This record gives sequence, structure tokens and C-alpha cells, in this order.
Amino acid sequence: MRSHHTRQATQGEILCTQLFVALETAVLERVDQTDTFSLQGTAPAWWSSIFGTTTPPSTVRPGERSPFLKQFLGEAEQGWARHAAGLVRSGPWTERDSHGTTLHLEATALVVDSRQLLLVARLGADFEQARATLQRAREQALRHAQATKLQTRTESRLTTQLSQSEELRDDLLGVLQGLGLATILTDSQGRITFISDEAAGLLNLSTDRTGQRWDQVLSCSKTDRDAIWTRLRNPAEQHDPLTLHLETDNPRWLDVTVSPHPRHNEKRILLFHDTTEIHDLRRLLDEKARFHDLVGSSPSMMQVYQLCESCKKKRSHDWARPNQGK
Amino acid sequence: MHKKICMLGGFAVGKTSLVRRFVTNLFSEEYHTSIGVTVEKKILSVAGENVTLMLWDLYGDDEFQRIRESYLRGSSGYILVVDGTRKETLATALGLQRTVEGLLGSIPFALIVNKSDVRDVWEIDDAALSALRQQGWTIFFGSAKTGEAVESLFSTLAHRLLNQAM
Ligand SMILES: Nc1nc2c(ncn2[C@@H]2O[C@H](COP(=O)(O)OP(=O)(O)OP(=O)(O)O)[C@@H](O)[C@H]2O)c(=O)[nH]1
Ligand SMILES: [Mg+2]
Repeated sequence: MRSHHTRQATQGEILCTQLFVALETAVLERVDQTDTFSLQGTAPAWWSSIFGTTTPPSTVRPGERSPFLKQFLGEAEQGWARHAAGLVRSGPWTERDSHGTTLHLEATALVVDSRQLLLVARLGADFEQARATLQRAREQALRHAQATKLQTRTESRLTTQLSQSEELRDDLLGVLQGLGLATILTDSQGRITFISDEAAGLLNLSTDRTGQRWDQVLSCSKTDRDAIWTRLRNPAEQHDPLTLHLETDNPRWLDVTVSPHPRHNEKRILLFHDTTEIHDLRRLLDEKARFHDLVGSSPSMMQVYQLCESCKKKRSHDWARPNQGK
Repeated sequence: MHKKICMLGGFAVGKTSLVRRFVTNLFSEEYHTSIGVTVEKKILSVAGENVTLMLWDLYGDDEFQRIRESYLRGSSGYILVVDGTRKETLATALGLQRTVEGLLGSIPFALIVNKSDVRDVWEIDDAALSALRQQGWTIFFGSAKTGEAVESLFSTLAHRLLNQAM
């Protein structure tokens, strides 16, 4: 019976030894509350590369070889002194063997049956996996930070550029308005992208018409509109201004020049000149000449003529078109 | 004489690279994050006396890994590493400095703003550093890549440790 138990105990010991070797763990028992330990069972394969050849049960002072372990023994001391169940773990550390190969290790201090034990394990696949995950997390954090920084820098550069070009645009608009030029800027579809105050006044527009097509804003005959469309399509070909008649409450004669935008090929600049006064004067001259030719300049005819003139002035707004037949 | 010096700072600031440059005069562009602790040794001659510096290269402090206080015990001094291209790493270093001071009291330390070789993407605020200098902090600008200020960083601290020991 006893020999059966002894055999069982021996088999258990062998199993334990093999288990620790398989787990790449060295089992050390503390000797007389010192920094000396005796190696139990069989040392794992990696042991000698760091701590030298130790044949169990010979003793070893692992703290002499590893400064990290030396410090940990101080911490472990408190655990051993308490004689309490429970483990004190060192956390992972790295040692380099004489060939420069690195080994990741972790030590655990514990008390079993009043025996003060120190386990030193080589960290394996689990550790490598955790390391790889952490590596990826940190690389990602770095990439993210870099991308954010790049974005912020681009954003601030663009904001500066935008505010500079806005300032420049405002200056140019100021100059344009100051010059009192009646201009309209259109895009490739003929939509208005800019309209100067002078142009808005001239065309009798009370609201902002940017975004609308120019032909929805300009009240003129189809013939005039078609002529402008032709110019818009081929702005560089003709240089003489077009004359158009504005059919609003305040009818006007306008000269229009259409030029291509100097930088954006598809955009057009329409420049308007109010020629109503010139038209009126020309018509007056024409009429005067005609009256003279027809009826001469006898005092009575001059009177009729002046009466006509004063009537015409009163109703000047109705005289938009030269109605030569009347 | 052995002196323990801890390398402290956020992740990827160049703690491992600075130690490697100082101990082996090598540098690698590749980033292998440290998990746990590696202890490197280098013997320096300070005022005619050989001092073995035990450089504890700790892992970077971030939300994944917090520095264990037990690693700091027994330190004679420490080096705070900041990445000049990431301004948030200065705040991490300042937090670590408070932790160490709380635990070990006032022991010698130095701060290095690393990666001075890439100053075009520099982010560290000069005003913050001047304020620290006025508080008596020793601050270096250097690079593990070029080796700038690496020797002087460690030897200055070693001198201070020795002066304090005397
Ligand atoms: N340009 C430049 N890169 C550096 C410098 N020092 C370190 N690096 C790079 O920064 C990255 C991180 O360097 P490490 O030395 O591993 O940083 P660490 O502080 O030890 O990082 P953790 O161990 O993760 O906390 C690596 O890719 C290094 O090549 C430097 O002075 N200049
Ligand atoms: Mg590192």
C-alpha cells in the first residue's frame, strides 16, 4: 500500500516537473530568507542562456545576473513575509542572452506550504500576440495624430488663403464700384455671378439677381437678346458695342460690350454704357433739321415747333423711341 | 558605483532609441513598442570615477499601460523624454514628473525634447519650456537619430547624481 502511494507521489512529481518545463517556467525555492534560491525540478531550456548552467538542486542567485529581478526580489520579500496565499507578479521584462537574443520573462513570487517560491516564466505566444495588438494600436494612434495634424495644417493654410483672396476680392470690388462701371459677370451658363451697383441701377433692378440668367434680368427685345447671346458665345470676334433698348419703366438706350474673362475662359464680362442722352440729342438734332427742311423758319412755324418741343419734354418718358412718323 | 536611471515619457517619444544611441551608438527608424522593462548598462567616467548607469527603459505611458510605481523605486535619477513633433507628449512627461516626485521626492532629473532632426514639424511650445527652465529644470533639445545632445544628456545627469551622492 505504502509503496503504491510512494509510486503515485513520484509520478506526480515527474508530471509537475514536465509540466513546468513545458510551460518554460523555472521553479526556485528561496533558501533561508536570502537572495539565494535552489532550482527545483528541471530547468527549462532557456534558463542557462541567461542564468548560467544550474543543475538542480544546486543554488543560484538570479538577482546578480538580472538587475530587474534583483529589484523584484525586494518587492517579493513583502509577499513572502506575509506568508499569505496570493501571488506577487513582476510584470514582463526583457533580458538579452550572450548571443544578443532577447527573451521576455515574468517572475511570480508565492508561498506554498510555507515554502517561499519564485517562478520565472518565459513569455510565449500569448505575450507576443498582446504585444502585436499594442503595437498596432500605437501605430494607429500615431497615424491618426499625424493625419489630424496634417488636416489642421491644411485647413489653416486654406483659411488664410481664403481670407486673403476674400480681402483681395473686396478690394477689387471696391475699385470697380468706385470706377462707377456698370458690369455684369456671367458664368458658362450665362448665370450672373456678379453685378455692380451701377449696373443694377442702370437696369432698374431693386433686388440682388446673382444666380439668375442674364436674359431674365435684362428686359429687351428678342432681337437684342439674340445679338447678346451671339456675342457671349464668341466674345472676342466683335469689338464694336451692341446697342440695345431697355424696355422698363425707365426706358434706356444702352451700349453693351462683351469680353471674355481674362482668367476663366468660360466666363464673360458685360459692360454697359448708358447712351440714352446721346440718342435723345441725336434725335432732337434730326428732328430739328427735318422741321427746318419742311416748313422753314417763319416766326409762326417756330412757335408751333417750340410748342411741340415743350410737349415732348413734359412727356419725355413716353418718348423713348424715336417715333419719326408723328 | 551603480546608479539607476529611469527613462520616462509617452509612447514612441524615443526612450528606447535614446538608450540605444547612448549604449551602442545605433539608431533604427523602425518602431517596436516596448512592453515591460529592459535594463541596459553603461559605464561612465565621472570626475575620475567609474559609474555604472543602469538605464531602465520603461514602456511608454498611455491609456494601455500605466507606469508601475514599483519600477521607479530605487531610482537615483530619471530622464523625461518628450517628442518634439507631438506637443501632447510634454503634458504626459509633466504628469510623470509629478508621479515620480510624489513617490521618490525630489531627485535629479533632466528633460529632453527628442527628434530635433525634424524641426520643420516641431510642435513644442517654447514658452512652456522657458517656464520650466525658470523653475530650474534642465532641458535638452536632441535627437536619437543624429546623436545630438545624447551624450551630454546622460553625462550631465550622471554628474548631478554624483554631486548629490558626495
Ligand atoms: N526622426 C527621429 N525619429 C526618432 C528619433 N528617436 C526615435 N525616433 C523614432 O521614433 C519611433 C519611436 O522610437 P522608440 O525609441 O521606440 O520610442 P519609445 O519611447 O521607446 O516608444 P515605446 O517603447 O512605445 O514607449 C521609432 O520609429 C524611432 O525610429 C529621433 O531623434 N528622430
Ligand atoms: Mg521603447
